[in-house]
Amino acid sequence: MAVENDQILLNLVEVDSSSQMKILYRKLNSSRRLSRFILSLMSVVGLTTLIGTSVGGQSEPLVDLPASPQDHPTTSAAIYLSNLNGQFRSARQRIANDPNDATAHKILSKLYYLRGQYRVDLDEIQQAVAHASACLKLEPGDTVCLLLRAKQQLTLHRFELSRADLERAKSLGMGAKVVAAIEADLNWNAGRYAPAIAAIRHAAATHPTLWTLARLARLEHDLGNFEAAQKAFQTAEAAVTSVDPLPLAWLNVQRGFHYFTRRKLAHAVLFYTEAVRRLPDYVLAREHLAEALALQGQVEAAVEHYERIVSQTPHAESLAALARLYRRQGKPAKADALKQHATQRYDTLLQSYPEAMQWHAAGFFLGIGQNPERALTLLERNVTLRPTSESSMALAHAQLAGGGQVDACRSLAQAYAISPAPANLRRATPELFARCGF
Amino acid sequence: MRHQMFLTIAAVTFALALTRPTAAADHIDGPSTTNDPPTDITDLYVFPSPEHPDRLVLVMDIFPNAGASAWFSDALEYRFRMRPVSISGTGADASFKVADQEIVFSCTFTNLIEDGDLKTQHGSCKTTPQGELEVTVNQIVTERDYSVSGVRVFAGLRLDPFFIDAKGIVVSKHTGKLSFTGVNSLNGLNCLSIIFEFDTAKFLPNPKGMYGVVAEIRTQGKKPILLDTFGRPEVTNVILNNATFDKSNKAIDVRDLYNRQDLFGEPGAYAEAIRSRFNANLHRLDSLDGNIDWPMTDDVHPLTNLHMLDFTVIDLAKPVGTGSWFEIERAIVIGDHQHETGGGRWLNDDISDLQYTFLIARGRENIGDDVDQATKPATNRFPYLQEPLK
Repeated sequence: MAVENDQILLNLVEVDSSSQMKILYRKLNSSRRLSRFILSLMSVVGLTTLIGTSVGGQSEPLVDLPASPQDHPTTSAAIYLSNLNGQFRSARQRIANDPNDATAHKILSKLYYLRGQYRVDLDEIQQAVAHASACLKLEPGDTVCLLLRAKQQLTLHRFELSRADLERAKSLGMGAKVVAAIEADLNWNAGRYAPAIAAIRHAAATHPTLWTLARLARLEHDLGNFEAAQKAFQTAEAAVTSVDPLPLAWLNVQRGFHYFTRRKLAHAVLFYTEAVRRLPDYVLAREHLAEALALQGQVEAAVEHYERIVSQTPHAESLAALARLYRRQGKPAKADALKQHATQRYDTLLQSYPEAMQWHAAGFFLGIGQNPERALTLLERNVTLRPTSESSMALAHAQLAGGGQVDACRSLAQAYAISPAPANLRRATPELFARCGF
Repeated sequence: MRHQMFLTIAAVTFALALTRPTAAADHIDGPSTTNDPPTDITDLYVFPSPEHPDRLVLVMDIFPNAGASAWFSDALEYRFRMRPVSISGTGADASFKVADQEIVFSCTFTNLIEDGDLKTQHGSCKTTPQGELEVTVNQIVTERDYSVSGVRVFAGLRLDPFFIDAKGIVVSKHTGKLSFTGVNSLNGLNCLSIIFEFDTAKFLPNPKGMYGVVAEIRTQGKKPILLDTFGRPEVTNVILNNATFDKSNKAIDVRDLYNRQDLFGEPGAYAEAIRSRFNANLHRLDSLDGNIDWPMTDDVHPLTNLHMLDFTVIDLAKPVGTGSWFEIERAIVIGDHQHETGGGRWLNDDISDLQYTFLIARGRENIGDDVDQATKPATNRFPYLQEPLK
């Protein structure tokens, strides 16, 4: 009964107006048990029947809510960041005292990588690479530094460099279990889906952690197995015992995204909001929350979130999104200034990190950046770098938008041929398939 | 389109499960705590106050390589647990009987209060069953506070008092030969410390009794989760780490399982896996000098049962000082004399040398790692640990 009631609540959340949703979210956030209690009360007075009737047609077989702070407390953001900064100062001091301190370079590499992800700052990831390289120059056989750099290069989409480090780590005895996650994602990005999928499933089954289960969830999401994805996300959350706020915030972003791509915006907002609550300046979380809110029509709230991000970091996507929203609000001067800022930022990032940025930048140039030709060039390069179904689909959409239907259909055929879930691809973009006649 | 990109970047690469470079005492002693250093208990010290012998001092160190500034998590509870213990066997049956009665000293902490660059954190520390007192992190309480409550507490950043050649013992275990470098792996590193000093007559059922002490970190919230425990030093890193020699389990790092056990409780579900790792690795350690001083019987090491009871033992009726750590256990295992000291663990004790001498050579010769003191030795004045390096 509780499950049915929660189901009805989720349906309500999904179709509601924003104010209703906020009220319910406040209640939900206090605790899952409380939400069930509220629903029981609603049931008693007959409300659930009414609501259920009004929103019929949607089906979500599982209750899916983020863990509340009472369910799973995490260290406050202020303490977390202060401790992180203290570790930075200490490691930098060690290197200042002894530039050949390989351990300090290793620590600093890890810290930069962590903060780079927190801030979505590729310059910091590049700093992480530099310190891992310094570590390896001093200790060429250090497998931890090799693995660190392999992950960092993967983040920057320098797949060949990442694979080279990975292979070297393996040759030095790094176990298969340790390298499996990076190897699976290198395979995925090379369009070698079968070994990637097998490795992801194997890792989750034999070594169930937050990371392997979340990766499984994303795989199921990509394959269109949404219920399985949802279950895997829930299991991943249950696997988190740490009070470190970043893993749970990251997971909530992933879960929010799972709903966002399915246009279940209220669900997405629930998870994104919880991520922001745990780590208010986690750029990824706030940016996604802003995006979902904007799509819900909550433009002012979205603008506030984006403004907070860009006041702290020149995050290109946020600059571009804010420019779009300013235009929507009738503020063309502010919009133009930000658009120019975003263009400069993309140019800079493309110069430093072409592999990582070409797909991101293409999205900008196809939209407010108003340079579809450049977007096409970037997406073509992206397909070469990452011969995946997803890359080809992105290119197909861009080609179609530019009037190149023949090219678009060729890209679509390519995507369809290699996709690990072709039926899902067809379901997601029926209009494109119809236009291409297959 | 952008989101396709996001997924490939974020989820793929966020896994942070990388091993930290040095491992010592209980520093960085398992995958979970390694990934969340503020939850990592690095050491536990138990000794009579050098200033006031009628008081006992408990020190819990946390957060290896804590940096130039560090704060306690506001989502955790930090606890010392003490239970009366008695010797229940000697020689091959060396063991302790643990009473049910428990005395608990614990602290929780607030979020940071920030006023410009000034940061402050407060803590609430409890003594069970006596009461509660408030502390301000990094502030040293005075004797006047002590006279009111019979307890004084320091919580804050200090210089890590532990010292060890961590690389040396790792290489030794790997190569099978003693290979120390003489370099202190923890030189110049800070940690967070919680230090309770209390009147034994006021807080303990028998102020001259024998006690077992453990340190724990667990989550707050509706269902607290035990994240790390500490009984004796170097159990996880020196003894349990490395699955190479374990005949029954070469795949699983048992340290996380070990760290999440109730050290005063009944053996958990993983007890046999842990026992197997003790047998294998104690034997490996014993062999490092080329001699077997602790012969195995049916693959069972004679010190495994004793190590499965993991707490710091202190006998308040006897003196505690340099060299007394593990002396009670050593005496009851050898079985030919009464223990002469109160055991416990003083801050400047050279744990590594004492441990290697006993485990590798059965005390017949001194085996040391040539690292004989911390960055700065501890003092005889509260809070005993040196100020942190900034």
